[in-house]
Amino acid sequence: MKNLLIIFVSTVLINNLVLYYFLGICPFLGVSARIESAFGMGVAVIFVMTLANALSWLIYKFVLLNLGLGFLQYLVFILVIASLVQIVEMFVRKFSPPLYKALGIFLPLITVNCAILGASLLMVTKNYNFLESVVYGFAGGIGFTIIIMVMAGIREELEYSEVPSVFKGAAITLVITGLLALIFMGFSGIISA
Amino acid sequence: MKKYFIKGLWQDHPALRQLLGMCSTLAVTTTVNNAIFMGFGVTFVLISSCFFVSLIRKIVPEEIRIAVFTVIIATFVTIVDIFFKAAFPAMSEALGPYVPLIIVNCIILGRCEAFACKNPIRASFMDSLGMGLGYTWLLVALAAVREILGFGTLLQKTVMPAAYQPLIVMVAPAGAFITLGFFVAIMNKIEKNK
Amino acid sequence: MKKILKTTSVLTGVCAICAFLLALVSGLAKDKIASNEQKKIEGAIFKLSPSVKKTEKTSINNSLVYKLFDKNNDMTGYAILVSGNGYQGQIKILAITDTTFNAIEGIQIIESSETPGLGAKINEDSFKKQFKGIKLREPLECVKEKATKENGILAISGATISSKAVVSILNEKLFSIKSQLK
Repeated sequence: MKNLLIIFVSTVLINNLVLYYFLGICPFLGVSARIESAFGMGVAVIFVMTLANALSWLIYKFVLLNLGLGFLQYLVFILVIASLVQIVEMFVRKFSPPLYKALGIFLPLITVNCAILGASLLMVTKNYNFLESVVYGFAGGIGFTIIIMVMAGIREELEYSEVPSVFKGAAITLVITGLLALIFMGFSGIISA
Repeated sequence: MKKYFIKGLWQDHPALRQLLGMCSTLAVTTTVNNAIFMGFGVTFVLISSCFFVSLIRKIVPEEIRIAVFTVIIATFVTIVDIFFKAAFPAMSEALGPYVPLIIVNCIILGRCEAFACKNPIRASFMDSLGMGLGYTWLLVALAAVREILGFGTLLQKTVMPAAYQPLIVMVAPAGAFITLGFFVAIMNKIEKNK
Repeated sequence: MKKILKTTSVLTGVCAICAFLLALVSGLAKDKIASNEQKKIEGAIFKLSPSVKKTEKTSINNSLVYKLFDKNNDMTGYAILVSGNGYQGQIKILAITDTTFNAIEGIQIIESSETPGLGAKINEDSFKKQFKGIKLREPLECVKEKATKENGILAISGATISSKAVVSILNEKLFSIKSQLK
């Protein structure tokens, strides 16, 4: 239990998928302009990441490894993610049209959100068991959501300040992300065994 | 033909102008060595994937094109990963999970989707080569800044005077973001003044 | 109907060709990759213990253990590859012990992805040399202040977790093998 808690806290605050592993930058830069869209993207990511980790782990352990097909790992993981996103999209479109309208374009974007594939690859490198992998996926999604919402909040405020024109847009976002990363580096002391 | 190649190097730069492929850009530019290998890896995957996508563009149904592109890309990334592990094991370890992450490097899917599936093979080849090399020079430039300021070395050889205290933050994620942000700003400035 | 057929067959076809291509490349490279791994371990062993001229793979308690021999073919000790979770990922450690598993002759960190400048310091000699000659009578203890007891290892300041991880990985694996040897 303690182990799971450590994985959760460290993935959200310290080894944050965005600020430490540089995953999910593209959607991060694209979607973090408004708090509502950031939240929507975040929720979708949490959902897909947790499920993808769970499914990929099962397939990896019980199919790929048993059959000696380890080299198909990347192919299988990305197919799992792409299919999951497709299913989630169909599901949402059918059962909650307003939600679909809100999340609309983000869903297909999640497939190439490197954070999702990254979380799957990392759970294998870190040798997590099933429960740990699921918690890792969940925590990863939450960490991503927190950062993207903080960023959206900052960017909404930024609209009222005078950013030099060459920095407008992606450039200033990157610099601010860097400062955020610096701040989060301070969290690394939180976990002491 | 030549214009397809040239545009990827500057005016349509995949990372600095299209803002694609950020993840790898930030992660592997800690040393110039890493940057060169990553650049090579991405360029190889880009060229091979675009080649095959362009080759089969007329027989792939619209609905499954993204899935097909992704499968092709994942295959070539796995090949690069295996190649690195066999021929350059130390580099493979240094680049870690970022080699398989080339699969979701938006540049590759982006070029397949925006160009290769609509254009003949030679044009696609030129386009992907230009984009790949453009991306590579950015990686090397970023890595040079981070390695010199963060480690005091270039290509593992010390270049800063002995009294120089390395700015570790440059090789940390924070340094990566900030440096890239400045690069994008510089590019904007140059484009504006044209 | 025709459309579904075409979609499925194209997708299946592409997947099949790709899987085949991967199987081919993977098969070709498999041996080279295994030998790279082997060379890395042997290189680390020879570097850590220069008197060792030959290694022999064996298995104790389901763990991979190398018997070490010097140039006269006398056994000089064992080399064990152990791994476990560090702060950032897996830490792989090569530990060389004497012939009776009573003391560690040295350790080498083979693989780690700890925080550069902090946890990564476990790779530095100042940390590793503490393990040289340490007795394996009782489990090693990682301490934050001066190591007063015989089995104490001083943690790196700012890298307590990585240091403790190294110690606990060694304790867990080495002692379980040691109990098998008795």
